[in-house]
Amino acid sequence: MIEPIDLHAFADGELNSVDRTELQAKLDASPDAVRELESIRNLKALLKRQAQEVETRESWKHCVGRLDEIDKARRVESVVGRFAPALCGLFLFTILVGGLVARRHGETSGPKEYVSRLLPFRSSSESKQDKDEAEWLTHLFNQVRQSRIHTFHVLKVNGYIADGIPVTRMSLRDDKGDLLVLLLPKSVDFGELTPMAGHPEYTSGQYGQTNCVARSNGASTTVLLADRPFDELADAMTDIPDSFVTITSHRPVK
Amino acid sequence: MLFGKRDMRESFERQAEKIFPSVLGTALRLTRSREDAEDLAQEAIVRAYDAFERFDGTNFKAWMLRIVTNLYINKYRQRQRGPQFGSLEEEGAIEPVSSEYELPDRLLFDHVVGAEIEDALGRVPEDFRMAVILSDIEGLSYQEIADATSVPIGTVRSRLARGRSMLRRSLETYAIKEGYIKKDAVE
Repeated sequence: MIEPIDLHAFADGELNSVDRTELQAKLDASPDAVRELESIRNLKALLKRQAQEVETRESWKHCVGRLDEIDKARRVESVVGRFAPALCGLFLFTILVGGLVARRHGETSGPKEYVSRLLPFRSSSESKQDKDEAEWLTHLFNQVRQSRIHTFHVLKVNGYIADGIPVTRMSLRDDKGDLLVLLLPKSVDFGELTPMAGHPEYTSGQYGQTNCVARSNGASTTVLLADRPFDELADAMTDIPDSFVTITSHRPVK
Repeated sequence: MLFGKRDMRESFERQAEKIFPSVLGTALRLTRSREDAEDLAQEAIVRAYDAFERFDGTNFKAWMLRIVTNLYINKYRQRQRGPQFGSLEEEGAIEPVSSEYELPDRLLFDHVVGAEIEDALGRVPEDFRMAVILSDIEGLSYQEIADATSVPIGTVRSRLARGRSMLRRSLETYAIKEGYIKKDAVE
């Protein structure tokens, strides 16, 4: 007795050599099984021979198009993926450097701009100011005249607000010429001014063509500008008492 | 790395183009719809390309047809429409392929042409049809068919025997209907 399933396996070449030999022996004694085997083989041959060819050209083109899209996406992913750490690093580095540059730039140029804002010399007497401020300036003027800075002749005292800071401006004159004094009731670190040789408590530099020396005591800042050497400005600075700055800090501000 | 990818693309495309008629043909015989077949074939190509790095390099055609078959089973089978013979019990008795009425194969097979065979094949229930297509048209081994259809080899053997038997009956019915052979020739 031959199992039909074995005949199919025989026709398909899926029997091992032992089973194949055994089945072959059985086939010799079974004409019906031989006929069945022949029919299986004929059907297999028919299918192989007559199965219709399928037109694939257009469909294959679409497939190639899809593969191109995948490759394109992979290339983008690959570039982004490969350089992602570098891009992130570069981005962070740019932010960091930008920040440092901005900070550095801010340190050098910010105060310079700040100085420029301090120097419009817009007289309070010329601009609108309230009665309190006018009185205070008169008081200040009298204080200055009565102070110990006998070496100076006080030409004018006025005040204005620069960048939210009340600035008191005094025009002084001594035997070497005119000076301009700016008094600020807070400590300001001017980036464009550098520590002065021989006078570590002072910073010096130039504003435009004018030499400038500044002194900050933590609570107030005095800036001295004049067309004279730094050493002479430093000497002049010593003649401006701290109490003088203290007076300016009491300026009424609205 | 980029060159490696380019080589991979070329290698894949060269092999895939060669066996694409089998991919699309199998897809067409499974779905029996040109549109679905093209979608299935393209999706199989894309999936295969994605997984090409994992291809073991043994039999590309069998690997591709496995993808096609799995995709069809998982995605397209539910969408299939049209008349079916109805599923047959896997464990039932296997009918012989040869005609019990001793209708010579020559009388039947000499008359049928490709389109008629495709039509008859389309009327074989899909599990059996799948086994016949993969074995007799595409030449896959039992093990490869078992891998492609995720069934044991014993089931593959059974489905093949039944599928061929059903195909033969379908061809006979078709030949009688079309008048290629007279009904009394089989009675």
